[in-house]
Amino acid sequence: MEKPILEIEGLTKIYTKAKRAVDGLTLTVCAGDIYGFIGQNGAGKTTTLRAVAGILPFEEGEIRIDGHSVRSDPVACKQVTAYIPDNPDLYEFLTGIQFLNFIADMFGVEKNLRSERIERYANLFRIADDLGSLIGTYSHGMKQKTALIGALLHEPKLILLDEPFVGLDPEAAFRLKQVFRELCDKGSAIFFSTHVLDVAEKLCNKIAIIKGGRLIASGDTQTVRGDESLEQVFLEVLADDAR
Amino acid sequence: MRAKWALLLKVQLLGLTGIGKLRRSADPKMRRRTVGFLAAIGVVGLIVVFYAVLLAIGYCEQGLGPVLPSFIAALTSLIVFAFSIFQGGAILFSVKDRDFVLSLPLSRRAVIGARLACSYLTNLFFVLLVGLPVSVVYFAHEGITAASFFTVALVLLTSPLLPLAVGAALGTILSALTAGLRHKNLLQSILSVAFFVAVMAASFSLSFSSGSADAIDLSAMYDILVGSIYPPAVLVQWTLTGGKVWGVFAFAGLSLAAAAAFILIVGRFYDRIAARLSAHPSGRGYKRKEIRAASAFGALVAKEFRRLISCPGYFLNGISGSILMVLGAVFLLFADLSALDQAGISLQSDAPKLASAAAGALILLTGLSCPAASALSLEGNSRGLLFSMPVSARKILLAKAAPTFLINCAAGTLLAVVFCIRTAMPAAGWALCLVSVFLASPCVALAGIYFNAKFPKYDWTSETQVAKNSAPVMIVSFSAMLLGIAAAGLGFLYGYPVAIVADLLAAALAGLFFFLIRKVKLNV
Repeated sequence: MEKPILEIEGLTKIYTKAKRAVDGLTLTVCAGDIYGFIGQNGAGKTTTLRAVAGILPFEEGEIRIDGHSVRSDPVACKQVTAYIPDNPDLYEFLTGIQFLNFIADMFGVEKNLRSERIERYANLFRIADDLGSLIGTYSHGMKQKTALIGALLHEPKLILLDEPFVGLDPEAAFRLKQVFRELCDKGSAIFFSTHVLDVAEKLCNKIAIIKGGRLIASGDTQTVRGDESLEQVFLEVLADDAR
Repeated sequence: MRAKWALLLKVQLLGLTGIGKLRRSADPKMRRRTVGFLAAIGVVGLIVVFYAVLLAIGYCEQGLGPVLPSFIAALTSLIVFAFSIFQGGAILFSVKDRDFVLSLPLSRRAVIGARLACSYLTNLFFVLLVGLPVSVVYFAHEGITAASFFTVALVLLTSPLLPLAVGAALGTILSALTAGLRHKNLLQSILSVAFFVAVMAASFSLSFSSGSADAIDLSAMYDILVGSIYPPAVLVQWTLTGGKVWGVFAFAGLSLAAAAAFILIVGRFYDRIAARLSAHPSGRGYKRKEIRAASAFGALVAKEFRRLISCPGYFLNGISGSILMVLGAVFLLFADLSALDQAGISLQSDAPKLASAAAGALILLTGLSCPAASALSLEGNSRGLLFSMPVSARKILLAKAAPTFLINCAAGTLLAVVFCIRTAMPAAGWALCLVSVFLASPCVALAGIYFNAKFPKYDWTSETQVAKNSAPVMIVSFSAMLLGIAAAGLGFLYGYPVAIVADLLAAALAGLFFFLIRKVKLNV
């Protein structure tokens, strides 16, 4: 049986009494999974990812990462997780290399390992020459690449990404998918939100569809989509639920 | 239809004050926080009013009631001028929504007018906070007529304009001149301090050479401030005591003309300055170097120091007290202390009084230097990144408090040592001054970061606004001011026991905030 890395049970997040942003969401992400999380704008994707990342408190339910509770042992959870928000607001007053070194210090990555990984990923994403420049001078895509390298430095067991392909050039997007697969082969798990259904369909082995804070469908990509495209399934599921 | 600049001003003020959020938010936690913020501002306001009234009564008792309006105009203008220089280009250029605002169908003058008006209104709030109670004392003592009421009202309303325009212009010039340089932020900070010190030194040398040796006399203070440092205030005095009606109109006209000239001139060069400020040195190929590893806490502290020197507005507003302590130490090194003898103060027999007063002054200046009070707010949109790191909230907060503690300890120790050497302080005086530094520094640092965690403002558009005007900064600065002035004043009267009580209070507060910080949770 696959080892669960992320277990979400009955997650409920209430911002105002009138509306539950996430309502009793339950799903499990196992080692080796590339799990796509899709839904309309305001469906609760980012709220779920933030709650899992331990930066947003929630009212009900439980989230466990690698067996640790996000509620009672957040630091242990964060130690094995990497989170990249949709708009990577990095420290613009640091250079790329200072930022990556800072992240490595925070996660306690050994000195030799960090140098090796920074070099490898910086070359892979073609940003090595810019690491000496201030992040404030970077384009959106370069910031996204820097955030990705930072997320990969400690080889996390769980990587949470909110719209990771937005802003990346086609080559970087291709490289990122390669890295995803490599990490999953090593036993990590990836849980990401996206609006690009085509990418989700080709890349993910599991898919979850969320609407109005509730999970509408989840499971193996093949099972969820059946003989149709993911786009058709997504639109049908939303339409069925609305009736 | 309302003018476009007024609409822009309204949006800026909604963001600055948080009123928009309060009106629309259904989150009870946020409402509680806003009420708490307003209560804290109310307490701070009352403290300021208390001291302003005390000062005004002191003036009236010395027979200087008639000069109160011009004195207050000069004093508040000087403070507005200092902060405007320290804000530098931030008033107009270093704002997050600059590109968006420039993309709107607005003239550059409308944009500058709205920005300047926003800064004017925040400064006017401060001027009125001090000026209104002083005016009440003035009218109660001197009597009120329609003419005097009109004069004082006109002075209060227009007095922030001239120092704001001149300070912002000088700050903008400094920013533009240093824009292309590698360490431009640090250089801008140093030049701003140097410029301000030069203005003050020139003014003081003028006033001291004019022979006013008795520095404690309020009359001498008035002569220095109005006569040398801020001469436009004399125009107000000519109207109030000399019967020259044109004086106040000249003062108001000068203030309005300065603001108009600022808008016209800067409007002409705005795009060029903005382009120069946002130009980045072309990327140089990065050469791999040896990477230095650190502990998580060490990395966090190093990041905080880098953040501090990354923005002149944050640096200058954040550590203004420490800068004053260093300047005070340099001044003391060369000052002629025989003036104390002339004022009837003996360095030997009055040592306990001097040491206690110095301890109070050290507490006050330490409180003026609290970058920790805005360090968390300045995380802004990147707070999610920090909060997702595998470190406890307590460690993050203590790392944010560390620069405040270390900088205040260093600057305070320097001032305390120079003071004790120059005044040949006995051992007890040395101990008291140094203990005050080492107790006030952690107290201020921990209080700053605790209040920042309680009242964070992440949706800022300008770092300088957070570092200068945010609630935690005001709470810590004015509380330390209250404690420091009370300790200095009472210490000068009653000696060591007062300073010891103040130090014990600082120690107890430091312990309390250290305990409270353990309970803080950091969420986006």
